[in-house]
Amino acid sequence: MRSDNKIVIASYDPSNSNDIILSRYTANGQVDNSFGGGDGEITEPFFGGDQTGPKLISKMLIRPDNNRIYLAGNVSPADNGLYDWALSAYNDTGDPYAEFSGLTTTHWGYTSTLNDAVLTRDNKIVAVGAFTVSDSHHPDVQEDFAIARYDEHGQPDTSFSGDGQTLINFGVDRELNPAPANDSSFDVAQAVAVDGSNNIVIAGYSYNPDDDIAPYYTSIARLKADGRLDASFGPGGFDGDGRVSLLIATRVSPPTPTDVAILPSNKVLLASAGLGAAGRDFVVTRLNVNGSFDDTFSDNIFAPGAKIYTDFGGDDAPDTLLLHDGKAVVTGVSYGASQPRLAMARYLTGESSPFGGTPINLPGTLEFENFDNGGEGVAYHDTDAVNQGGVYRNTGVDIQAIPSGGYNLGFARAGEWTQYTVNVAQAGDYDLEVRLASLRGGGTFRLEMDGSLLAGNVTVPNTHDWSNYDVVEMGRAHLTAGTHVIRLVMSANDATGYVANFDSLKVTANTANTPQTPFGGTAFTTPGRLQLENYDEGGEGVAYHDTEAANLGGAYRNAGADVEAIPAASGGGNALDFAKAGEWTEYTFVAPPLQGASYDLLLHYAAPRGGCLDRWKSVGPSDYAS
Amino acid sequence: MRLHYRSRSRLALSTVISPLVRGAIEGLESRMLLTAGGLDLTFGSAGKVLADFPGAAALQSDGKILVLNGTRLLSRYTADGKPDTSFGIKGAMALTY
Repeated sequence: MRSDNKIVIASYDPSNSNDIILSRYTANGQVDNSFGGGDGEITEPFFGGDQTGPKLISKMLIRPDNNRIYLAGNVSPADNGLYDWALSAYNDTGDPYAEFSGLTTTHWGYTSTLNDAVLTRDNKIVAVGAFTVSDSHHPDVQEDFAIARYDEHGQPDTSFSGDGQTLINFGVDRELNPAPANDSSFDVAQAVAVDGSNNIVIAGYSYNPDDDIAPYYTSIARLKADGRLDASFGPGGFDGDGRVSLLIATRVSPPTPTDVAILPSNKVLLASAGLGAAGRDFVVTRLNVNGSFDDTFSDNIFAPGAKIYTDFGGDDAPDTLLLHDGKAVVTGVSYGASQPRLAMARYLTGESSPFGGTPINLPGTLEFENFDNGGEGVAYHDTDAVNQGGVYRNTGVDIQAIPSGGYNLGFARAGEWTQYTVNVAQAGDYDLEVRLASLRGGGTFRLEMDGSLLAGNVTVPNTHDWSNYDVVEMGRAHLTAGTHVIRLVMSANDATGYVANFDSLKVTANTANTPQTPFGGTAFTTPGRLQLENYDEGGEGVAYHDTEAANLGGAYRNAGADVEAIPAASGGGNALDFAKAGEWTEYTFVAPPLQGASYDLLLHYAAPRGGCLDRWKSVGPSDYAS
Repeated sequence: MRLHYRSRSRLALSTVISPLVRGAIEGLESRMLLTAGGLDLTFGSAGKVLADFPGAAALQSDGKILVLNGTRLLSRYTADGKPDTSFGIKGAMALTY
């Protein structure tokens, strides 16, 4: 489905196994005559026109901004039953995407399967599946989750795990036997999703052939954007290192889960098949952000649990999990006495979703009438069920037309709230301003972000008319990059029984220069040894630039530059690490005392792939002269 | 003496228990909100749809559900899981190439 709701279908060409037929239809299913030279279809080679072996498409992706089409799947170059991964790309016209160099393949080793793929928020492609380390004739046979990330041109993304690909092994039977003697499990990634911070969540199964009772486990991993396992996923679990193994459905074949989605809160939703009273049922499972079962996901507050079973009366297997309007639609197949039938169910996720489908981009202006979808108690709370303003949206929230244009939240009473899913482009300090109008003034309100106070309470000034708008400065706040939920909360009514008419929230990057000062207050004196972790104070864009807002090394300083502790065996201290192209740090120093003298610059660093581990090296042909 | 002890005891109880009770009530409230997870009974028939022609599914931006059976039959359902009679014949159409 394209973002404009046009429908693109890829089907194998029955007359030529090298070709794919791309056909396009309007949102209402009519042949789209603007595609393929007037007949709505185009035939093109895929996965390399000269491949002799079979070619299998697993997934089609369409970029929302330019409608570029990606196909991901498998090829068997030698036609011997052993497979590599393959990607092809086409423009929105259906012509091959020239920058893609025709075909991308990833040869993992013996054989591999590509089961799912997803586009990241920055338009990269993440593909997941399984890599079989060796065949069944070998004693140490093993399958691992295989994950690869490619840039938009299909090239391996070297900012992911160094070479664009990584493997994850789960080990066997972790729940029943935490310390297995044999770590050779069959781990197969079946589905992938990307969360609001560009973390990658991969769901699949692990199979232990020696376990007669419960051979199948659900296995889930979360990777940071740079490809490392996210240690905040699964703490207290079997690994506590970004991997979680759960018992959701046993003795189910084919194994599950079949799909995964990430809720705005970064909770994980899984669609699986599990044994119910009559064959398999749909099982929808919600996990907390840390990977544990979310026991609040239940139809019944007296029977908390993380799994909801849905029986269609047959042997029911879900296939796809899709989020819309704070709800999850799960589709699949029900096998009964007659033909297989379409089975669909919808679930309340308890979470709101952005109005219009995409988060509000910040910095920018947030119009208060564009609160999230999801309904009363989830996306908003209003005193009554009626839109007393009667315009723009059909919910309980009261929206009025502003005479000079636009809409406002009106009839706002203490206790009411509306919430907004936002995307902060870059971490930093931002100024917050709310535009509002009030006949009397004196009411109070506040802003919350992700459940914590962001700004306020602020007392509403008297603007002397419900239609006379003024700007209230809410102060400055530090926002981290990524998806967040902002909530506008009415705290107290004024004498009229209302708080104010609310138009918009303006979020602007703080333009005041943050002073740059030496770390510890004293400039580094030359000559001498400068510890690189002692970069200046002043923050992102002033004293340093780092790709992420978090200190990925987690040591020494609480800022975006990544500092890692050096193990005592390697000398101790701290080092800048996870250094990526484009990042920088600055240091204020006192010029050397000898004017005109030459000095050598030596850098102490460790780089395993560069062939230099823990050594001093001269940096650059020209010496520094003061 | 006993009276004094009792009144002190009551005072202590009220300061200790009251936040606990408040916390329990708040916990119950948040549990009830979070428990807005469950089968959505407004979808299809009591939350479920069973129909002919299973297949690959995708959503349009208004929540309508498209299901492709094989490569030839496309059916559409409204966001609430009813056959979309504005689409094809009674919600389904054979694709032409």
